[in-house]
Amino acid sequence: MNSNSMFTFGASLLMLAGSFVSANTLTNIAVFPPEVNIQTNRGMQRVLVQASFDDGITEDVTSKAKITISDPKVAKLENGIVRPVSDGKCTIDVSYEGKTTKIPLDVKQAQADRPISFKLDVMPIFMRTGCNQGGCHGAARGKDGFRLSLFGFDPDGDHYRLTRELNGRRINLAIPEESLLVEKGAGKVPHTGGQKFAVGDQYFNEIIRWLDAGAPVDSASIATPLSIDVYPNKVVMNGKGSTQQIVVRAKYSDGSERDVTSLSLFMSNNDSSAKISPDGLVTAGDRGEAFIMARFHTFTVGSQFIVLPKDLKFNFPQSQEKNYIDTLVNAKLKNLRITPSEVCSDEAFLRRVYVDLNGILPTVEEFQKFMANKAPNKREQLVEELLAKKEFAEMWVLKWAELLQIRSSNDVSYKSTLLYYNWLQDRIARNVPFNQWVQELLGASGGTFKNPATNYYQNERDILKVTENVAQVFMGMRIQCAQCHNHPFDRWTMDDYYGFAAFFCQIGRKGTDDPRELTVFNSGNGEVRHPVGNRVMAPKFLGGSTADVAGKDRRQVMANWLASPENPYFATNLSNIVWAHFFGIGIINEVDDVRVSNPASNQELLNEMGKKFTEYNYDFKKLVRDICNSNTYQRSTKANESNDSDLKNFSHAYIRRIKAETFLDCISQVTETKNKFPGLPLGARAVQIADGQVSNYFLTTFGRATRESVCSCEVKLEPTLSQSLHLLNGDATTQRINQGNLVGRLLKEKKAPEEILNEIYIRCLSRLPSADEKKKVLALVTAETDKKRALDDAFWAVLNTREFMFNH
Amino acid sequence: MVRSTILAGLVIVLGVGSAQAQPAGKKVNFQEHILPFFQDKCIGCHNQDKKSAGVILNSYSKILEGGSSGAIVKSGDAEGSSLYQVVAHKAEPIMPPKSPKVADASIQLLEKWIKEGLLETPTGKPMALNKPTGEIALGTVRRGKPEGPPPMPEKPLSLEPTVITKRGNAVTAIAASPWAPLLAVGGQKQIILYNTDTLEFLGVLPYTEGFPNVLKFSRNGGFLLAGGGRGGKSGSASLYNIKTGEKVFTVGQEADAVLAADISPDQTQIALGGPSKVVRVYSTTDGKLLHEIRKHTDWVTSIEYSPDGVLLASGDRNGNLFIWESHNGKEYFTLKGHTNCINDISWRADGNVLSSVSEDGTLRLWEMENGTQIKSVASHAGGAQGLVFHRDGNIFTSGRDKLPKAWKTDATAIRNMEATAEIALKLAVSHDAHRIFVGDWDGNILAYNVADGKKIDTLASNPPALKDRLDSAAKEIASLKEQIQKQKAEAAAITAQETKAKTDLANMQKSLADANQLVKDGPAKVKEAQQVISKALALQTQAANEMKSREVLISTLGESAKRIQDLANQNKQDGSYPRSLQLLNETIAKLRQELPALQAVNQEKLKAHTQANADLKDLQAKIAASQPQIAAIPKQIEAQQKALAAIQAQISPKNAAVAELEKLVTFKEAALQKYKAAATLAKTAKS
Repeated sequence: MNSNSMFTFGASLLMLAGSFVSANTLTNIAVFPPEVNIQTNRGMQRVLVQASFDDGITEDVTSKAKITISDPKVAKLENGIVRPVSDGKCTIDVSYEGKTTKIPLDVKQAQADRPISFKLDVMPIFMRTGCNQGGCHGAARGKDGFRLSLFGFDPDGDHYRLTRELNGRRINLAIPEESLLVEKGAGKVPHTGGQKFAVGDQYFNEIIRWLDAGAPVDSASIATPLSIDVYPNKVVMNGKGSTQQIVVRAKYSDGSERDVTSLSLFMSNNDSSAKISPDGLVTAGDRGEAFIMARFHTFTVGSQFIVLPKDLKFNFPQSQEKNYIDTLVNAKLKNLRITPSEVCSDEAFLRRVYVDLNGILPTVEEFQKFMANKAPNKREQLVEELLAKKEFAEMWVLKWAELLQIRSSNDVSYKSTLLYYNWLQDRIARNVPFNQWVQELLGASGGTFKNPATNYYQNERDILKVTENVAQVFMGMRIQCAQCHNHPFDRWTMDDYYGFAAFFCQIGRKGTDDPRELTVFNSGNGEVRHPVGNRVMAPKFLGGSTADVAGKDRRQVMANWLASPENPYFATNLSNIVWAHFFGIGIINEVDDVRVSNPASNQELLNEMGKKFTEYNYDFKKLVRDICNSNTYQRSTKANESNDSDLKNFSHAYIRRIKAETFLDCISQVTETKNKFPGLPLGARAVQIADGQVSNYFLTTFGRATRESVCSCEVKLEPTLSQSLHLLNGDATTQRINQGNLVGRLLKEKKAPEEILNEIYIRCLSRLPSADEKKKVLALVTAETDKKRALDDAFWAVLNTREFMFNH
Repeated sequence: MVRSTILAGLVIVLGVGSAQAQPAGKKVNFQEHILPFFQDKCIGCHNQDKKSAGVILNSYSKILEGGSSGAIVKSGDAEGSSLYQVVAHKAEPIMPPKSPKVADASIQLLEKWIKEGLLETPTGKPMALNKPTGEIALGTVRRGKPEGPPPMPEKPLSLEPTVITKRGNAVTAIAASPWAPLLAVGGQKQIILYNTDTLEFLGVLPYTEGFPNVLKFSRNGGFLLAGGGRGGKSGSASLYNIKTGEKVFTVGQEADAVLAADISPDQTQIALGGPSKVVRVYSTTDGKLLHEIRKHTDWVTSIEYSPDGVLLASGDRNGNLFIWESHNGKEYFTLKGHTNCINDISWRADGNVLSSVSEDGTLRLWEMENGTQIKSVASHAGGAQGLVFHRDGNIFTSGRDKLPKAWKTDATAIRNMEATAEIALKLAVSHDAHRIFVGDWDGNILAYNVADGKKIDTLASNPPALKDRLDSAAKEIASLKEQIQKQKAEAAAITAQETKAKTDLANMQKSLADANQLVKDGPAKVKEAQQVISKALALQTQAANEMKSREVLISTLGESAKRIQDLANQNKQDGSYPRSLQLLNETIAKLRQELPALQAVNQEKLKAHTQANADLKDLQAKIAASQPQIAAIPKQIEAQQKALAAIQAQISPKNAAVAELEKLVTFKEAALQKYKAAATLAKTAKS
């Protein structure tokens, strides 16, 4: 998708924001595709006319607009479809409600027939009609004795299986229409998968044409699809039931173009808002946003749909925009007609920013100091203060230790694990720019003791696993699918996968004098072969060009590209990881699941953050500062009517479970108890644990990452029954309350129960108890003779509140 | 029989779907109306093997039994019958799933059938058991050649193909009679018969069940078994009587096309299998299902009875190969080894060894003492397809490498046949093992000479229409006759050449003889000539002398006359003088008159002498010239003799070619007559 046009689109909406209330007036009509090129007498192109209104609403006016072809000798128009007549150039002229526009039309080889091609004409039918889906014949073992490659990754194999695997069964060249392939597909004989096409329809005819020609295999020089375009790429629908047709056009390596709408597979990521028919007609449903995707060949391209209640009146409130984050988030909210929540209270901000930035709770003193501060920029001051603390670095060391799987095992000694951890801690504490240390890490050679960065290649030794990990951690791409077949929901093909893997196939590993140490070096030989056809794959950057690796360490070439602005995914992916830390979800969520079919909820914001991150010379602290100072981050968790259902556009703050290590640290902090972890001094914080292998019951129960994989899902934040039981009955609360004896100490200091209660509340929740809470608790304390016990109980109760367990 | 009724029923249902609401006057019944509808739409899942939800819809009794959640039909109450409800989309789960609702007419038919009380047949009597027309089973198994002439079609077969197609499809079924020169090829909804000796097209057997996937002759060559059907829809095996060309029996109610089948040597059993993964064995006496073998884990791809009929071998798509006891269907051996689809199996004539070929590319031999593999050879790269273990002991195979092969009994290679253009699929070996016939992916049947592996001819699995066949036969005959004319003209030209060559030779020989004679007679003739010369010279001399003496006489007489004159002048009165003078002058004149004659004689003799001299010179020159001729002519003669021999050598093949062509014309003309007769017959039948 063209991000630039999206941006202007958003901007134009922004400018229109003030006039949303007035009745909408037509501002513009657009024709899709923007130019029509037709080749051969089989060529055709459906054209769409989209009207845009001043309130941002769009409408499919193809059937209402007047469409004419300037030279009827060149082409003719039948039901909105342009068909060739003779070679020539002219224009398609469109007028609607006083607006006119025209697009160029070019017809070539109008008298020539296009020969049938298995790859270009027949294979797409299998994908479109669902034959080669994973649940059907695309399954690894096929279905009912017949297998097709999943989503058509192996057309030559499919040709073989259709024509020659079971000779005489699947196709009948003598009587093509009585081929089993045709009879099953057309439902003329019972078919487990049901009827997929009808006798005489486009799919039927193309398959018959292929069979009539003798089921030929394509020549090696057959054109290949290079890209697809989906039109229109931005739609704002006015009310339930309104519709918009989609058109998909493919461009081929021989310069030809085709309307492949009828050969594309359509999906919506939100059926309840926008449902798409197999033929590409989108029907609006409930209010919301949907991403409509068209899949053709190996391409998946999406189009953004916003569905609004019919003729919605909307006024975006006056809202302060602290920086670009607020601007871009608000722009999206305006598109969606969502009113954001208010900025949160100082108390909420204080607790939120402490937990997020430092992984600890503010102390009573810190609370009081902040509350007493009258400076208008006291929040910015606090952010600066927290950014400077060592706890800030520790939080991020933990994060990256998870992603780099820093963990001892049978193969990896504790010493090298510790060295690796220290190496990482040093980089983050010194605020070494991200690109530098990532390049250092991925290109590292030497002993795992002498150059601990080489541990990256000690932890994982499988070429393909390393490939997948690098893509997932540093680019946010899960390319695993493409190991065995083209990625079904993304752009990655097996060529991309093995081309990228070729960077990691020359890693040499050998032992050293110390059995605990391993030397990683560039072996300079070894190749990766494509499993279909067994050809050697040249190293190719994922989503980039082929690399010149002659005489170089392939990993260094890769690392220098990966952590650089040349890699379009690096800066945005890291920004997204940072963002997700503060909002609980990424702009693309999950952060390591970047794919066409999982679009960013706010691509402009993500692009801008990536841009800033690059401009900041990959100093992520600056990015964190931008986030924490934005109103978007500081919004209240309290939702209003319009943003209640919003869970991904950051219109209000989301309530987040505090992750295991931080949660344990918080409990220890408020109860004044100490922990002992192996390899660390008594009283060390859980965040500081170097080795992923080390855990305890509490951490495991609350979902500490085992670091066995690089998946963002390693950190588990789902509630479980054992978590509740542990907090209710386990040693995390009662024992710690007794052990820390906070209430006892405060009683000894002759503090009144009310004061003690206030302190408990501030310590745990960074706020004073409400009048109601105070009344109820103090009533119980008064009734109890053993004040310590009563207050301990109150303390226990607060520790067991959801408010304590969550960051909000 | 049953099948054809079903087909008729199908036609009715289709008619209903498009036009009228119900079959006029007839009560809706299972056999004619409902079963065809189920076969079209439902039995892919609701068959005896898959039985989704426990429901089986291709058996009347199973429908009454219901499915795993109870009854599916309630006689007289369509609304209360879940079968009707789900098809009419009035209840979940709607059927058939993932497909559009079936035509309203079919739903009404189903409703009517239930309301009218679930009739099984039009008469209300239960469906009759499937029985063969005539006796099939033999008393005993007789090995070796059966008595009497080997069975060939006796009645004229239809020469008009049931289905005519532009091109053929991959040949999946081909078989040759074990005793007669008869080849059967699976075509499009028909079986095509050829003569393996003459390669003559004998006619077609219509296969109304769909597409034949397997053909097997009974061991005595009396019957042909054809297994097949419609992929994804129906499968069965039909038995044809070779002599009459009639279909005598059909067994099997598979939900997919039968892929493998065989008739037992005693002709009491027919075994069949296919994508259902089940081997079903039927009795040929009453059509009853005898055994159901459910051990295969994938499609059953090949089945063959051992020559004594005791064992039954079956292979599947997974590479599993089993031996069963044919009388009870119990497992006898599991033959483990193949790693991919078993494509064909064939027993050795003594029944002690089974051979098998597989998609894994190997040909394997298995012994029947312990069921172990005794040999495995890589036979066809990419996958072996066809296999025949012929009675004479040799093995023949075909495969994806496009090279049909011949092997000795122990699977050591004998030779590769000439390559086919496409994948060589199934093959058959003629009764005398002189020829093999390989069906390929393109639908061609390639005939090979076993002895040298050379291709003889290509037969079609898609025979042309009788009319086209007639036209092309007539054209062929015309062209043959043209060829004969041309050949004959060429023969005449050769004969003329021969005659001329012979004359030339004779002339040469004469010249030589003459030369020799001349040389031999030379000296004598020279002598003779010299004598002639001397004789001529003498004669000439004599003549010259005579002439001279006459001239002398005349001149003497002249002088005498002068003197007499003088005397007379002196003696004028003497009268004697004038008289004497006159007399003398007269004499002189007379002598003068004779002188030219004497001169002529002299001239003549002179000429004769000159001539004789010239003759001698000539003779001498001739003799001199004969010498080199004597040396040269024999060489010329030799060359001429060779040329003659060469010409003569052309004569007999030319004659033979003419004879051959004439024979062919006769054969073709006979065939043409047959086609014509068939065409006339067809015409009469039509009118």
